[in-house]
Amino acid sequence: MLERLRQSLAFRLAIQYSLVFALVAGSLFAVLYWELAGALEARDRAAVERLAVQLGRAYDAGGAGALRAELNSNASPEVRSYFVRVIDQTNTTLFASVPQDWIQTQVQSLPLPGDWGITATRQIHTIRIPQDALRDYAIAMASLADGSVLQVGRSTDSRAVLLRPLRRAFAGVGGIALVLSVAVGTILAWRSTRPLRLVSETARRIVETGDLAARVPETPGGGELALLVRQFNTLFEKNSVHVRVLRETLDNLAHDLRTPLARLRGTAELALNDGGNPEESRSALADCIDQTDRLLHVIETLLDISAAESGALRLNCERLDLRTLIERAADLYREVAEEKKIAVILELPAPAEVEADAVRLGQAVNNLLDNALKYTPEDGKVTLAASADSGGAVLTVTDNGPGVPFAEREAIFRRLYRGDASRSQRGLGLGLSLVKAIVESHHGTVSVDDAPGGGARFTIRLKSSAGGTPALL
Amino acid sequence: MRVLVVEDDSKIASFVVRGLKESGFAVDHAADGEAGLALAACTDFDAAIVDIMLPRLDGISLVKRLRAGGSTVPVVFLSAKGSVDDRVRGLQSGADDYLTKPFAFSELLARVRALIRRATQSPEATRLVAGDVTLDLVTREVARAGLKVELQPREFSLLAFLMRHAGRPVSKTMILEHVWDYSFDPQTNVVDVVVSRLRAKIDPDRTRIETLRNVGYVFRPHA
Repeated sequence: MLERLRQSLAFRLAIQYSLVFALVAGSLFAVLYWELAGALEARDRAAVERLAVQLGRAYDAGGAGALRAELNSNASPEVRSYFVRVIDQTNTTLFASVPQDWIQTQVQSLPLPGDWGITATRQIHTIRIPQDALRDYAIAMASLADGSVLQVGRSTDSRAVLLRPLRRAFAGVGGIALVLSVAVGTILAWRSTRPLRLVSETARRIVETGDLAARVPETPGGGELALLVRQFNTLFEKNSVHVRVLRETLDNLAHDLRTPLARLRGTAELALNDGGNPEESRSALADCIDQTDRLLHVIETLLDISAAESGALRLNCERLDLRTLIERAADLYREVAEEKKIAVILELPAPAEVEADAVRLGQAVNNLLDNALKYTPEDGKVTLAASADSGGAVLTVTDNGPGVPFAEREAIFRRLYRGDASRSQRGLGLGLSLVKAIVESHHGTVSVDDAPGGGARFTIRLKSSAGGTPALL
Repeated sequence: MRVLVVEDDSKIASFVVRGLKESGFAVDHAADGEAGLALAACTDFDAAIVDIMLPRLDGISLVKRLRAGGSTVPVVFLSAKGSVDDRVRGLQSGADDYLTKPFAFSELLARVRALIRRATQSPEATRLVAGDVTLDLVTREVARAGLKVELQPREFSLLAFLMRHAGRPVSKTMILEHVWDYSFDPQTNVVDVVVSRLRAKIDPDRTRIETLRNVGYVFRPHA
């Protein structure tokens, strides 16, 4: 469980965002701290410097007495908290006033900052000397007219101490916020990545149990994950349809191969048991060859369909007029149509040019015509038409036979599908699926609907440039 | 009649060689292209059956070299590739016919016989006579036992094709190729339909055009 949490995308996302959050908050605090500390120091320094200027003026005017008077005249308790001393150039203390809470000896031992830069103009230097962990000295120095130096100082709370609550608050609140952000972030991310886990869970179930009906529960909305879930469900749906069709095809194939094989075996067995009569044996052998040819033909057509569907069928595309293919097909079937007294009518008013493989597309047209002739009763009518369409061409084969029931209009293009009407007919149930595979390998479409006035109408639509190589699936 | 078989698949080779021998041919077999070329160079064959996919020297190169050397021996290609492209390439290289595996031996035999006949025949007469049937290729007149028979164009072409090969079987595929000009099998029964119509007109007693099961048809002239 812990390992799973550690590897989980939600947790890693939460950790990453929390780290970014901590970094930003930390920098913000550092800037704030710096500014605040600066402001505190500036305030101390301004007060000390102001007093230094004031006392310096008094000393310059009337010496130590005036300084004392100035100090005493200023009754504010704040001023009393200042340490004031004057030292001459030999570092001898000329005057000292020490706040009551200071210990006297400390005045003597108070370090003298080395580099204070005495110049002609009164320059004030402020320095900060740490006293102990809790308190600092803020000391201003001013050079006086007689060459001695006035020091005004004050013990202040150390910045470190002043800012300690702030640091504590930051550490406390920041820490809690960080922990919370990891926890809440993990939960939120965990919740919003739920569709991902559902997808992977569903995929795993399909793989493990073969349950093709499994779907991911869909979430409303148009977010990426909702979209992902919907796409996956579409994929699962398509897959299950493919698998179902494949199974049906295999079932039909097994059935279609079993019948001629059983007949083949029966014929051979009979001939074997008959014994002797060479004439009958020869006839039985000829029967066997017939059955074998039929089987071979089924298999070859299936291979052709597979090749066309998978894009492995090589197309020799050239610019051609659909009228040529129709005329050729009509010519090929002329006698067959005549035998059934079916009138084959060509409606070819204008060129209908496409880029296509003449042999393969011709095969498709032949199959459609063959189909139409098969299902049209005697004295019927089959119309072949071609016309140019916007950006392509349309070819129709219309008969006045029984038509195709609405429910079967997709199924008849499936491999080995035999509609009720076609069971009595010779054929394999492969012709139309070959048509579909060929047309689709040309990036076209084939469909069937009702002809005006009854009968079936098959329509092939092709783009004018099908492209030489079919797209690989 | 001597036939050269160049085929590397031993099963197909033995089945073709045996079949040809049983049909009265003398047969030489080579298992690769170079051996085939060497045999063809030193022996005078009446026909050659050459596989396209061969070790050492492929069938198409073999035939090109044969033709470059001036040989006119009729050649039938055997190939597993059934596409029109390969067929055209094969015929362009100088072969005379093309057969896709798997094939029926009877089909191969019919084609070889047709080729040999064509190669040995004197320039074709404009008038074909087979038994009591005569056919004039120029006036397009057909007569049986001295009586004129009206034929439709396709029936005429079919009869002419059958009569040219009188006494020798021709397959449905060969008929489709020569009468309909279809180089692939459209899988229809059109040939049967036209044959039965032709029979009705030219062969009412059904003794001239014979159906050979699994093979095709043969025209048998009346004595």
